[in-house]
Amino acid sequence: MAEGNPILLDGYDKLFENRVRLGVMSVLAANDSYDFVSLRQMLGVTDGNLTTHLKALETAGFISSIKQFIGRKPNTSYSITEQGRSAFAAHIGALSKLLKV
Amino acid sequence: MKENEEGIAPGQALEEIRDLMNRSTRTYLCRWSPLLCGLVALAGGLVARGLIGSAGAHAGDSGFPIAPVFIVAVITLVLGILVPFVFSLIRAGKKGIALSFNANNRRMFVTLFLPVFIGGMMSIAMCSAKTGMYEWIPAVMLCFYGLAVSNLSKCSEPSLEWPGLFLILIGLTACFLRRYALELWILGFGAVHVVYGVCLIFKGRG
Repeated sequence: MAEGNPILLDGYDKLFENRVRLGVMSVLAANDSYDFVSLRQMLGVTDGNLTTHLKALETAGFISSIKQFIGRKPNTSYSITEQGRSAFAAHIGALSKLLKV
Repeated sequence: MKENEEGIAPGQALEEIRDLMNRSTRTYLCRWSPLLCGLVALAGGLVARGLIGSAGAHAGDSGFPIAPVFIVAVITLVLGILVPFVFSLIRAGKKGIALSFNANNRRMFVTLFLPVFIGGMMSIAMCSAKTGMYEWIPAVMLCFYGLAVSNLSKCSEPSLEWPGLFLILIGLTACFLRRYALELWILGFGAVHVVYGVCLIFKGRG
């Protein structure tokens, strides 16, 4: 039904269709920054899986990462970019619109 | 509209987003904490000011009411930690969020409390000194706490950078203007907390 109605899908982003990516965006939208391990625990996914999705989101410019050392342990923390925040908000808007139809 | 292949239905997606946003938030302390902490500090500082007297019997003079001031300081310290903590617990309970003590929180607490603990120990040592070291105590407290807070800005909350620097600056000022040490302590622990706390609350609203 939505095929012929582009307005309905305004803001809907294919990149957020995946559950893991959507989860990452949700967590980062609610927090200033989140480290890799906590993110993995929160979403309950494997290292490789999470890495792939994080890369995809970073390439799209929706999240940014900072690599640092805490003591001797490498630690990567992620945060949402302005672009990511507005894209995510638009996506949520589109989802709610879809539900109302 | 076809279903998302490996994705999720819109309704379920919204549900999951809401759930994750709630669960992931590190609401260890709620955003009212700095303000509450500042109010406790203001009250404690003013009571101490009253005890010491306005006659200008500055620290180091004989007849300095060390015992009552020490008691006020301990009460201020306990309330300053307890009030925001209990308030956060109540708020979290109302929102149905479990306060989790995850790796990030642990790191945050060590970053904050290690310098504070060292500064506190130095302060206690200065309290017990027979010679007039009292006037240095506010400066030590301010400097160590300021360092802790500005360190904290690097590992958790970036916005803590300017209050941290302010605290260090006030602490260093207190090293030189020791006559006004207590007033500077009130400015640092009271006013800086309150201003930052108010900013935090408005930032959360906006």
